[in-house]
Amino acid sequence: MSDISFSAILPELILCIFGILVMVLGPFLGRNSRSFGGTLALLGFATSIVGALLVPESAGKLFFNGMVTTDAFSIFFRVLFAAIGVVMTLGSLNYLHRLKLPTFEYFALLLFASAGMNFMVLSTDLLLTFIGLEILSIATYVLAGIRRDDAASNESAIKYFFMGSFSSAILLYGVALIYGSAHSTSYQAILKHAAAVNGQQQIPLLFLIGFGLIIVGFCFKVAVVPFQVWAPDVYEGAPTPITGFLSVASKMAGFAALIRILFQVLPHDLPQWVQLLVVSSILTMWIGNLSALTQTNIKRMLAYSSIAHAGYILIGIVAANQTGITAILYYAVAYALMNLGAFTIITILSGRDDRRVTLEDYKGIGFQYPQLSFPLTICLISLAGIPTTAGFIGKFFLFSAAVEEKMYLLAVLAVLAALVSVYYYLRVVVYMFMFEPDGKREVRIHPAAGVVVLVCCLLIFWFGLFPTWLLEVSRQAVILFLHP
Amino acid sequence: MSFSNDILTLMLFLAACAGLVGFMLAFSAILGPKKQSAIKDEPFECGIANVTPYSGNFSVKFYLIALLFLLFDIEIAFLFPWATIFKSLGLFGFIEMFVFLAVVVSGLVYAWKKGALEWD
Amino acid sequence: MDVILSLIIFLPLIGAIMLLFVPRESINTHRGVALVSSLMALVASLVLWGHFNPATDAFQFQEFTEWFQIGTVKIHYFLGVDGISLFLVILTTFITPLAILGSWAIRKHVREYMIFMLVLETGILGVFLSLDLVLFYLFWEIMLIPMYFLIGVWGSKNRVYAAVKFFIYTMAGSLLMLVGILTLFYLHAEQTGIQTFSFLQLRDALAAGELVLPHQAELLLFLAFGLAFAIKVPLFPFHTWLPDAHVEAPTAGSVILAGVLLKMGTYGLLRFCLPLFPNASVELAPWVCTLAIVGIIYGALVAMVQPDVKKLVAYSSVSHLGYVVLGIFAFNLIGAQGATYQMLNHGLSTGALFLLVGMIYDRRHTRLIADFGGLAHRMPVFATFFMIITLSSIGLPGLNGFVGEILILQGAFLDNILYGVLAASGMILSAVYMLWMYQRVFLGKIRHAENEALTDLDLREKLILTPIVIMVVWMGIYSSTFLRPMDRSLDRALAGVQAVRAEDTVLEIREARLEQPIPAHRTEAVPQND
Repeated sequence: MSDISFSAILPELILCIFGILVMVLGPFLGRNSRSFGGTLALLGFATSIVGALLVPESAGKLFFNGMVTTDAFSIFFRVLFAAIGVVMTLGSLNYLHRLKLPTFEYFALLLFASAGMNFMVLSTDLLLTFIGLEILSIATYVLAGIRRDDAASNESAIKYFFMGSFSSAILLYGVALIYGSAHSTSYQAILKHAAAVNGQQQIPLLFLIGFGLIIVGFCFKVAVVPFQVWAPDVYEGAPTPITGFLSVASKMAGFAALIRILFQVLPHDLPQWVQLLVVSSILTMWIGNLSALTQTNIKRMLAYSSIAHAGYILIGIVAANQTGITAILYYAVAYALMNLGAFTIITILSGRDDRRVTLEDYKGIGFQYPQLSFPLTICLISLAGIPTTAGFIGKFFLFSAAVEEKMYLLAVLAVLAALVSVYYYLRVVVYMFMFEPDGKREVRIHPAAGVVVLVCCLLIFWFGLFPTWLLEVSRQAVILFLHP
Repeated sequence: MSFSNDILTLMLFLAACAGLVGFMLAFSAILGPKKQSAIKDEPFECGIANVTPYSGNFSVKFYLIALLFLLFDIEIAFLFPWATIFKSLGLFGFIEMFVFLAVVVSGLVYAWKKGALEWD
Repeated sequence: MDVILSLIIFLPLIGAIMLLFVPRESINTHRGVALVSSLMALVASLVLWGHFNPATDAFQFQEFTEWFQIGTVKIHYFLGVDGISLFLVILTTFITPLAILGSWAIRKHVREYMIFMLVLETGILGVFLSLDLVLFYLFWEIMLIPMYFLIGVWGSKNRVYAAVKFFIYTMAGSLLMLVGILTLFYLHAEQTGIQTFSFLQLRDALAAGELVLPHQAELLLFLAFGLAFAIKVPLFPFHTWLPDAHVEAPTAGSVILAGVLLKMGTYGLLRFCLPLFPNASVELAPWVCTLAIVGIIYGALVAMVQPDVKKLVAYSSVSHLGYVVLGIFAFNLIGAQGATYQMLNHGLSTGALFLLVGMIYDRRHTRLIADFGGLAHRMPVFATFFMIITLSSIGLPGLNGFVGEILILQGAFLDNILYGVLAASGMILSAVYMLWMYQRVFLGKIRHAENEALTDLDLREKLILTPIVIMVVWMGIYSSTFLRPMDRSLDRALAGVQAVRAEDTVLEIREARLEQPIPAHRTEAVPQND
């Protein structure tokens, strides 16, 4: 009982308390105090950032019977997720108001989802990881369908629910097999078992299949080929801010948990998964980017683009060197900035019924709304990986990680895939700046969303030009995976 | 090498399964007699002809109540293991359970206030 | 003087940032700010020339600071200038104010237009001055964005297609170069233990034999870098983006594109490919030279049949840049001098041609040769300027084009007589298509009523063209002003390939003498011989 330390899970406690508070207060306060829910959620996320920074970093020590760690890696992601929460709250305040959506439930679910993601990254036990994943998933299923009177949103939620349950089941089956083999779900115990097993002539099939299933389960979550087919429909139908959240936050949480399992639980000389993930990475980049080429719906296009980005991140995982994993963490931040920035702008432009999301709707807005079109251009250019943006630095180090491991073919295929992506990112720019507008339309920029867009753009440039600090923080966060 | 052997075994097993299923499906489709008739297409209800339309409307309230019942019922199930080791957990366990119950109750309060418990 | 290079690079950018805060409506302020900041860059680069020491082949005015790092891998902000880049910098800072002055016809979104022009200038200057490969790559890509917008927003009818094509083509090459840069970095780190992206360190390590690239790796690296540069040059058959981009771009865009941007490709070949991959350069030189000659003749032939003046000038660029590549891959000093000189010439004369075409387009809104004829009657000043520039472009002795072309041909003849003969035939063709075009546009009677009302050049337009004509004459008469500061740097750039050539000769002699092939490794053969 001595290792029960509530300060180790302080940010999660804060998020849960605020989540419950927002949820319960909602019905009491009624519809008149919409912005109160947002304020409370903002307060919750902000306190959670502070809480995460206050958590004493201790790499070796585990809490709650070896289920919780407070290493730099978990703190990095906890701060990132809370920051994403802040951005989400500010970016979607006006959207909720415009579409008359239930504010309190929305923010409560956002807070719970954030808590779930935190548990995914701080857990050192397969069961807690799974519970975190479920908290996140259930919250996001509801969020995807929060526009109850909209058919597309319903379709999205149902599809997401079924595919999500399916992948959770696969994951859980993997956990069960591992438990059967290692007689424990704790990472430490599994690693010990794996090390013992590794000396033997024959690695138990049970153990390998268990890990295979766990990896497959996470691949579903992060939408990596061949487990990506659900993503475009879900992303297209979900409310626009939630699409941003799904493509950034839940994907990053999945990757963070996957990285921890691959590098902390699997012994380093058990490389069967590398070849599979290399193939998966290449396919993910190419299928994602090629499918995005023909899309006319921006949300769907960015859905495919986010699949492709999962492929880039996989490069860092398969390279498995310091540069690679550091770059993944850096890229997580960069990707969050550029994708959330883009989705916030798309949300602002999406109109009264969240329907103005096709390329046609972006015709000629370039010089009509320069305060939106130029930031969107910056986000897209960053997604395309053009220098001086954070996206470039991220891709640069991911590719260099591949070259460092002499995976030249992977690097070449990756840069060519990035080249393909340039075409469809530019297509949006073409529509915005190089076509004449169809007529004037009313777009109001809520100050909160405006601040989000501005901050995202400034940080994209800041981290693109002066990335040392973030790179160093990322490196410190992953150091324990490389020198166990 | 052992790894690939195992995989090979598994693949063979899978192939055998798929082959067997495919064999059975294919042969029953080829060899089986096919006779279509109106009676065969009717919905089957214990041998008696349908009297009412087979898809009736239930009020959504039934589902809601059923869901709420299930939820709270399962939450309460957590009390049993807690009770069996209550003594060894001591005061900490006591407080912990009340925190848990508070969370469950807050859910109830939410549902109540939202009007989920009212029939009309 | 410590930060003069940064000053040159970032003065235009500062202007661009200032423009952000100027209200949208005040068009004249936009023009003024853009012009002044680009002129300041010109002044700064002239000061740089004044302080430049032509007696050394080292990079001068170096700036070296840590930029960012990941673990032990450090990327530096590393600038430096030598005789090759000096004049390309001055060319850039010289052409840009003229291009800005030449875009008074732009009335749509002037502020954004000027911002993109200035960012473009910053990008180009950065490419010429960077000595860290990552920094070089950064500037190389940066300049794509403003150029893309300039073509796509302010271009003519088919602008979107041209803009996207330009972007994708260039990016395709440069992304492979990025992999090349990374590969070079890790090969170097593996063999020497030193992690650096510095061009100087890599070059010296290669020269000293500390870094030995396997033969196949060197070929692939040469191709990775070379492809990026060849697309930019553009070397036949990678030239197809060029006519589209040139024709669709607004006047100033074409001027910068032809005047400066294309030189980034030839500069890259001379600066990076030759010193870093000398063996591959020598091995692949026949291929490159063949492509260059095909480009010279093909460009000239296609230019001849163009009905559109702007397209004609665009194809003439393919032809002219072929000379530059041929001069570089002749691997002797005369050829390289000619190539560098021809880069400047082409920048001046083709830039001026695009400006001139733009001036007539502003008046008549057509560029078809068939729509003109007899313009010399109505626009004598315009016709005179056009004549001078045409003569400069076809290499009339006494004007700048002659010096460059004759040096390149000398170099080519020294290398291989066949190259020289073929390239010289291109000169004749260029005279044919330029003079024929001149004749159809300016001479004869006025055939179209619209042309009767044309007005001659105004003060601003004369102001743009006069400095170019002065430079054209100066460079034609007193070339040593420009050639002498280049010599040492060019020697240094060619040292690698010339050493490989010399080895080959030694090997051939030995082989001839022994009448049997020498099994020893090529790099070991020389010390044994000494």
